[in-house]
Amino acid sequence: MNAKSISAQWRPAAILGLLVLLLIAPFVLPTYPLSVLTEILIFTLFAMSLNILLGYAGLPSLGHSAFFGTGGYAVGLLAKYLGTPAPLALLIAVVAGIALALITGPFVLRTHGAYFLILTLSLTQVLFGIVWLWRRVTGGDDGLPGIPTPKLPFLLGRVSDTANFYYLTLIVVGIAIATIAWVVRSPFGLALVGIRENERYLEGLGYPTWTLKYVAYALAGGYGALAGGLFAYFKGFVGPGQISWLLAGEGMVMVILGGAGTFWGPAIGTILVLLLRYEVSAFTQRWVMILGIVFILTVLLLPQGIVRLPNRIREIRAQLRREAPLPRPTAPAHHTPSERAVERVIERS
Amino acid sequence: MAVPALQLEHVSKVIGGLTILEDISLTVQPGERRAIIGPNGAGKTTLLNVIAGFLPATRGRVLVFGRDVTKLPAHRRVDVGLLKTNQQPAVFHELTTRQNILIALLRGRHSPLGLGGLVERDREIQRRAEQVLEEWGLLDVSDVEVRHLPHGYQRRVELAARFALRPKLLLLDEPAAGLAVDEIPAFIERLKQLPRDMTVVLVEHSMRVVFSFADRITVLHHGAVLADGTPDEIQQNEDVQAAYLAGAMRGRDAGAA
Repeated sequence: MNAKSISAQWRPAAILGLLVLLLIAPFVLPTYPLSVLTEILIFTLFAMSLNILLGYAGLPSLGHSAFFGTGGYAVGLLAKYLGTPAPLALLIAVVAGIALALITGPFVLRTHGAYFLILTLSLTQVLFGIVWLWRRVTGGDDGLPGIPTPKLPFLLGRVSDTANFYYLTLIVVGIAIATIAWVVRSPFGLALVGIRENERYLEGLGYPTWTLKYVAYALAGGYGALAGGLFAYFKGFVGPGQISWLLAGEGMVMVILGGAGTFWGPAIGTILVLLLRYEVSAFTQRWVMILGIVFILTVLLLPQGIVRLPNRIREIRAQLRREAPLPRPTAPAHHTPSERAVERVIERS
Repeated sequence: MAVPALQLEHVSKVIGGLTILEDISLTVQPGERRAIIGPNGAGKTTLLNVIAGFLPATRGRVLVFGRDVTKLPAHRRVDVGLLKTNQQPAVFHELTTRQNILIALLRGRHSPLGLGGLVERDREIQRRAEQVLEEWGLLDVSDVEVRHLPHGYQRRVELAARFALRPKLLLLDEPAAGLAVDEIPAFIERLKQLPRDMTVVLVEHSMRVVFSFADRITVLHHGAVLADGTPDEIQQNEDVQAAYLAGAMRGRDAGAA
């Protein structure tokens, strides 16, 4: 029995079920949980956009809040100074995020690993400094309050304002996530994994690895800015906290906790982090400590993230039954002399 | 005379003030099997990396099938049919055998960015991957992550991926390294069965492999060409004997006996 094919078989049904649940949520949930769910949707998009870099391409960005904040400030500034309608403002936010990535990419993408992490961190700190100090335009540490919440016109008067914005978020995030799914399952997505595994080997197969990273960085920037723009509308406010590296670090925790390089991992990580924040903080101030413990345990016991928990349980059960947990190569197939000459330059074992 | 498959013109490579390769010129004809030998540190692997584009040449020119590729990055050199294997098999360890083959096939098929279409829905590419896996005897391990495979299998995955891109000039960097002594004869047979229209440049320490496979041999010593000739000429060359071969032959054969 092949576990992979079973999960593939059930995937459409599971996604449909999830979609139905998300659609009926406003009729079931009171206002407060519904707004938490809205926030979960927004941060799922944020974590998934970071996952393109961190999980798929193996680029550990600690500056992804730069894009989130750029999207947020784009929306905030447009709302405050121009009164731009939300669809256009969100579009501009995405373009601003992509533009920031295209401008900064040539600098940060010269590096790998820890150096990439530090450079992206510096990038977000530079932007933080700008919004902090440029008080006249950005409002400094007061931020930009009073951003009007956009509403879906066809739902006006039929559902509460909270539910209306929830549906708007659901549509935008849903479409964005669907396109991310399409990107990571395309040849481009497979090539990104090749970069994570060994950039040089991938180049040896003829892939323009730098260009691939640049495009991935721009895409991640665009999606990150979209999440930031939505969040600014959600809060009705944008401030330096939304561009701070702390937020980038939180995104990193969400991705790694849930499962970097897996599609649904970041969503699971986001749900966990936000539920801990809002539920655990109701009875203790020390929710961050609990998050830290959960994070350490996950990294130690489930290094590939919580999304792999079912696989891990299967493996352990297989081990208990004294079965090999992983498929092992069997003896090489018998080869006939008539096979093509180029076959098997090396024969071994 | 036909355009040479590979031409190096006065190629030098200096890394941090240290001359690794000095004024190397050589010509490899289409279909030729050329071995590059020399003691450790002679610059053999560096030379392959300069040819493949992973290291830029400090001076000199590299021509592949008459085209000057000196300034081209490694990934563009694949377009002229140049592919290279690694001392450690250049495979993606966390990916399955099938995904390793798919990555190579997709490069051959899609635009370099390949943003379109889902890999799993691409019937044509899946069918070709299946073909490659079967040809190379990798079907049994097609869904196993490559890191679980033994060295010989990883080597096979590496070669299968490169052959999927139809190399015209194949650079092999110590492909026999890691093979047991009794596996060498079968390995030599495999090498000899490579299609004759493919040019092969081989860096190898096993003299048995080199002398039974190569049409011509280039000997590197301290980053420079010490000798260049047919296997017989090289064997009788006194400089080569003095610098390398006697010791290498004695050592290898004693080890093998």
